[in-house]
Formats: sequence, C-alpha cells, structure tokens
Amino acid sequence: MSTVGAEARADRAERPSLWVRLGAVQRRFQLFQIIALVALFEWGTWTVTDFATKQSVYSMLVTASFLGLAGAGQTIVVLVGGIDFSIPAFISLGAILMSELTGSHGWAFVPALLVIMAFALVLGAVNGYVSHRFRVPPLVVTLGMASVITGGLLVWTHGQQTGSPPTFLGRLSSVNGTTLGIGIPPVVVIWAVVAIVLGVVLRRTLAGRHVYATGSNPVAAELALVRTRRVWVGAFAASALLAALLGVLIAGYAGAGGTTLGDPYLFEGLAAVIVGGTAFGARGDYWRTVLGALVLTVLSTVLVGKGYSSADQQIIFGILILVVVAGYGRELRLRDRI
Amino acid sequence: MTAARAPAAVPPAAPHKAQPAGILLEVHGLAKAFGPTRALRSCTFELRAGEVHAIVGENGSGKSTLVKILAGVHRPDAGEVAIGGRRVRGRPSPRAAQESGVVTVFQEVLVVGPQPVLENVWLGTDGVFARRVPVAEKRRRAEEALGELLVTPPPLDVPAEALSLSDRQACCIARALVRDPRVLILDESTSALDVATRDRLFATIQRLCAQGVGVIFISHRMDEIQELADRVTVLRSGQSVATLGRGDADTGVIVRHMTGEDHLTAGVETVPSRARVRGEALLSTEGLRLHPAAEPIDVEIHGGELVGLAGLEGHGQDAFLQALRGAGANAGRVMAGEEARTEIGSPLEAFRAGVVYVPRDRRAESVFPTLSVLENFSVPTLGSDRRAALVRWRATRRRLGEYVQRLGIRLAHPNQPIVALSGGNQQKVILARWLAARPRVLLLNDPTRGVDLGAKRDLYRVLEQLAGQGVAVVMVSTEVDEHVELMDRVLVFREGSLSRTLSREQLSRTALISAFFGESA
Repeated sequence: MSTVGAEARADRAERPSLWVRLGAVQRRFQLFQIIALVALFEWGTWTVTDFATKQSVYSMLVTASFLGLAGAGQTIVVLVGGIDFSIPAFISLGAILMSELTGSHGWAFVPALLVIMAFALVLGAVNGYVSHRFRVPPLVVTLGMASVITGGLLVWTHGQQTGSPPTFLGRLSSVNGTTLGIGIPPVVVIWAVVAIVLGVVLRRTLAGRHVYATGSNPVAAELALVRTRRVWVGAFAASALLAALLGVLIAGYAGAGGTTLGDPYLFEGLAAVIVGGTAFGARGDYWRTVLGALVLTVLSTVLVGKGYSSADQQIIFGILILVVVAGYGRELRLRDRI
Repeated sequence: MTAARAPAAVPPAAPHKAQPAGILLEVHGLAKAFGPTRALRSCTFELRAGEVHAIVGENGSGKSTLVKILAGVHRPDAGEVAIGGRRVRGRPSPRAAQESGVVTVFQEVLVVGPQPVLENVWLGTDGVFARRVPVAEKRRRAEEALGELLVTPPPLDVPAEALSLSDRQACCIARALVRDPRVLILDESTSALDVATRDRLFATIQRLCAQGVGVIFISHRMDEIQELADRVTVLRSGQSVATLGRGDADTGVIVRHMTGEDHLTAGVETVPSRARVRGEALLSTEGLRLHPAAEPIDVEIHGGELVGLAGLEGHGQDAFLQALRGAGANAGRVMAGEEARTEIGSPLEAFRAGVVYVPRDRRAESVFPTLSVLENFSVPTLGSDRRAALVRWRATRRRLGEYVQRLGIRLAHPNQPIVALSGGNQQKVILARWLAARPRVLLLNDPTRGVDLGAKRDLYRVLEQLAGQGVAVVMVSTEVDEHVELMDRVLVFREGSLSRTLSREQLSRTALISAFFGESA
C-alpha cells in the first residue's frame, strides 16, 4: 500500500498541473457551479420562450427557495458527517400540524408554530443522540424516525386532513407577493436571511466551527475538547427545525398539509447540497447549497421548457450527482498531492 | 549503522535435540520501507527444522515488519525469502504463505467475536461454497488442539467473544495448529496468555519441534527466550546484528546487541545544557492503578521538569499518560492545578487545570484533514478570539503568527490546507494548537514519531524552552535516545506498573533497555 502510494505520488508530481490549479480554484469558490449556472441560464434564455421574464425568474426563485431551505438542514448534517433522511417527514409534520391546529382545532398561528418547533427540536435531537450514542448509521436512524413521524401523523389525523393553514402563509410564497412593499416574494427574502444567518453561524461561531471539526475528524475533535455528541444532537435538531419550518411555508403554498408533501425534497435537497459542492465530512458551506439549488432549479426549468418528462429529469439529476461526486474523488487525490 | 554490524556467528545446531538439520526457511538481506521510514534494512537468518528461533529487538527494530513479510502481508523491497530451499516469488498473500506451510499467530487477538469457537479455529479454510474439511473431522481436531493448550477447553459452540482474553488467544493458536505448520511464527502471542496456558503452549512447541517443525518465536520476555530458544537473532534498527546459540545468549549479551552500545555512547554528550529548575508540584498521582492487578503509582511532577515515560510497547506508559489527561483512569486519583490540589476526572477538567495532551497518531487523532492550517490551529482556543459571540479570524491569525515564528513552521499562507504541509510541519501546527492554550503541564505522546530530523531538533529546543519557563513536560517516547538526551527523569513501565525511575545521572541506553526487560543494568 505504502510503496504504491509513494510511486503514484511521484508520478503526479511530474505531471503538469492544470488540473491541480483548477482544483485549487474550485476548492476556494465554486467555479464549476457558477459557470454551469450562467451557461444554463443563457441556454434557457435563447432556447425557451419567456424564460427570462420577471414572472419566470421569480417563479424559479420561489422554487429554488423551497429547495434551498430543504437543503439547509441537510448541509449542516452533511458537514458534521451524517445524513438526514427524515427531512420529508419533518416537512410533513410542520405542514400538517399547522393546517390541522389552526384550521381544524382553532389554534392561533404562534402557539401552533411553537408546538411545531418543540416537536421538531426534540425529535431531531433524538436522531442525533441515537446515532451518535449507539454508533448507528444516521441513515438508518433518520429513516426510522421518518417512519415514526409519518405514521404518527396518520394516526393523529385518522388519515384525513381537514384543516387548511392561515391564508397569509400562502402570500409568503406567492410569486407576485411583496415584502414590506418591495416586489420580491417573501419566501425569497426568508431564504436570503436564512442563508446569511447560516453562513455567519458556520463561519464565525464556535458552534459552527465545532461542526467542521467534528465532521472533519471526530476522534481529533473529541481530543481537541469538542463535545462531538452535542454537536451531532445540535446539527440534527437544527435540521429538523429548519425542515418543519419549511413545512409550514409549504403548507401555505399548497393550501393544505399532507403526509407526502415533503417527499420530493429528500432527494432534491440532498442533490442541492451535493451539486453545490459540500462533501460528507466538513468541506463546504451553505453558500454552496444556495448555488446548488439555483443550478438545479434553472436546469429543471430549462428541461421542462424543452418538453422533457419528469422521468427524464430524474435521470439527468442522477447523472449530475454521479458526475459531481466522482469529481470529489478526484479532488481528494489532488488535495493529497499538494 | 553498517559499521556496527557484528558478524553473525552461526553456532552449530542445538545438540540437546536430535533433529534433521535441514533448513526450513531462509531470509537474506530483507528490507522494507514505509514511505520515509525504513522499517527493515537488512535482515538475514535461517530457521532449521526442529529449532525454536527467537527474534529479539527493542521497539521499532523491525520485528513486526519481518513477521508480516514472512506471513505474506507485506512484500519486501529487497532481499529474498526461501521456504524449504525454494525462493518465494510473486505477489505475497497470507493464503500463499499458509499454503507453503508458514503459519503465523499475531500479537493481536484476532477472533471473530460473534462466531463460535469451532468456526474461529477453522477460519478461512473453507471455500466459498464447498466445505474442504468434514465437520466431524473439524470438531475432533479443534478439540484436540484446544485440549492441548487449555486445562479446561471451552465448548466448541459458544461464541468466541464469551471467552477470556487468554482463551481467545488460545483459539488463535489452535487455528495455527490445525493447519499443520512446517514453520510456526509466534509474534508476541504469549503476552495475552495466562501462565498455565503459556506453559502448555511451550510443551506444544517442544512437541512440534520434535516432529521437525521450525518455530520463530518473538517475545519481549527474556525468561521465555531463555527457557525456549535454541538460537536468538537480534534485530537493531531493522538489521540483524547477531545470531546467538543457546550457550551465548545470556540476557546481558542480548541487551548489548540490542542497544548497540559500541557506537551510540557519544550521543549523551550532545545534551544542550540548560538551567534545570524545579518549580512547584503541578501534577501528582495517588494510588493510581492502570489495571486492577497493577501496583499503585504515586508520582509528583514539578514545573520545569522533562519527564520521560518509557517501556516496551503496551506496558502501561501510554495508559499512564491517558490517566494523567483525565481519561481512562482506574483506581486512584490524579491531581493538577495549584500545588497539584485539584482532582481531575475528565479531559475537560484537566484542560481547565492547565493540562493539555498532544495525541500520538497525528493523522488519526490530531489533524482535521479538510480544514486549513489556521482552522486546525485554533480548535481548542478559538473562544478567546470572540467578540460578541463572533470569531474574529484576524485575531486568530495573529496568534498563529506568533507560533509560526517560535516553532519555525514553514507556511505559505494560514489558509492553506494543513495536508499540504510536510509531516514535521503538521506536527508543529498541532503543537502550536496546544501551546496556544498556555499549558502548565504538557503531555506528549510520542511526538517525534514519523517526523524528520530537523523538525525533531526544533521540537527538542521548544520543549527545553518550555521547561525553562516552568512548564512541566511529560512525554511518552519510543526512542531510547530521546529519553537519554532530553529527560530529567524517566519512568519505566513494565506490565502495567511503574517498575523503575531513572534519574538523569542513571540514564544510559543500557540502563534504560535493561529496565525495559525488568533487568537491572
């Protein structure tokens, strides 16, 4: 193993380093993703009618906001070295509790919101605690949690959702909505605020730095006095909270709750994280997910405009993920070299 | 190094056993490097049929590498291995080695815990679909082998994890026995065995030898070697320096060969003189036991002291260091802080009392590979760079700058990935990480392992500076020279207890290595 490694290393040292330099640039900012975004947008503008109109761009931004928010918690969890498959369940939890409590049980908005947040924080924390304490892969734990939540919601509503969420929620995600009189859909502004807050938290707070340390090398983090279990619990709780709040927004957008409302956001949210360039184990940040969500949304709009079916889109998304992930593998080796 | 090589005088075959004198295994000029580390430089010896051939050497002398080459785990860079007169060629594999009759029992107890004893004994003998040995035969031979090794052999159907450590190791040895070895390699396999099993193993070895099997026996216990070995080959720094016959191999001679006294005495004179101050007590232990049967340890460590922890690998020096950092303490107390009065029960408490720990395995335990030098540096101390809960990276960069100068870290930019640095520079960044916490007690776990010579010298300089400033430095090192050159005091551990304390005046390579083996120099 070691001799082979040494030879390979020597080989690469001799090779001219265009790839190396591109890799270095790519690591610092997401060159590939930015080029792809601009190129896709241009392609859409030239080949799809009414692609670059205000209406169409806003509608893309609203879609990207949902996608980006779905990828927010996932970004934290992926950075810490886990994965969260219960995000769709928490989205449904937020959506259904909000519609039922306010619509059928006559609660006010704020108490309903607080109950949703409390549920999400506790159940999300359980995700993190169980997978860390018992060393179970978070994939399994979060799938189990998703099943419990979805089943619980069905039992509670007897399989029939009757309520609808407050109408002002719908206006938050309307394409023609305004924020404080400015003509930008509120959900886009919410997304921007979340992005800024998450960016600062990850970059400039101790909690954020501990996320990176834990994801990068959990053993070293523990020895560097980072309490990695707290970090895991916190990351999964944050992910659940963000997903449940997204559920509230989606309930407003859809006009009702539903147990399958969150399903599309599992794969697409994860895709936004990965396509944006955040890798399992502490490389990346939320800005990359923002970029990933924009790339995916523009791509999907172009494909729809060109008449591709959703099955075709699925294939293309899947290939995109495979390509990006294979690119990480290459980057890893490049990183070893320098 | 080559100048020190003694001619290998090959004594005649041991006369006390009437054996065919055929050569089972021949090793010539074997060498193996792992990256920059030359684990084995030139190893030459031969194993005769019916003999027990012991291989001895201090830590890092190349014994394990030799065993792994013979067992087919590693491929040698140079040199030859011949089994039964035929040179071994091609890609090595443990399976190929076993098929040519070389069977190895390793130091680690390698059992598949949830599987029954029977499966563990016969592990790896069946094909994917076909059973090569009938079950009845398997049971009979497993019982036979275990019965030979153990007074009360375990039932064959209990899972291996239910057995004691000693019995599990006996399963590993039984696994080797049922394979009918021509060459049996025991790599410190006795360290996990209890006394009764060990004695029975020795009887088994004698029986095998009488049948013409050759045994390569590796042990750190001189008494075992004296009892069992027909010949002893000594390894030093990856070279076989001597092969001694039964009559010549008394412990003193073996130790002299292991230490290579003839060319290393000069090293002691290179110690830079520094003012040795002895400040207040900063760390102490009371009745500390590393395992229930070990002797309690009471030690007091003062500011300004450089204390070395030494011993053969796994004899307690590492566990002691862990206990000092507040992790894995068994019975007893560890005290730190002012006049060593605060009891510490966790690494965090130790840290707050001014005790920091620099782990051994840089890659696995220290480095955050995806993060930058600056981020790697700052993890435990980042709290001090905050204003209104937000980290000011400029302040962190300034702090790092201090240590870049002081430790001589070669760095292009604080934001470059840490993995882009050389091993020595990475180690300096890690040291900077912990020095930035301004420790009163610095615990180091073999910090110069895999570090180049220049970086080693820098590190020694820094440690002496720290001691001069009144910091207590406690360091596990596997390098004897490091102890001899650097330390004020060396605590030597043996079988989980503190066996000897050597003061500066008593320190020499011979004294230290003798102490490793429980002998007084």
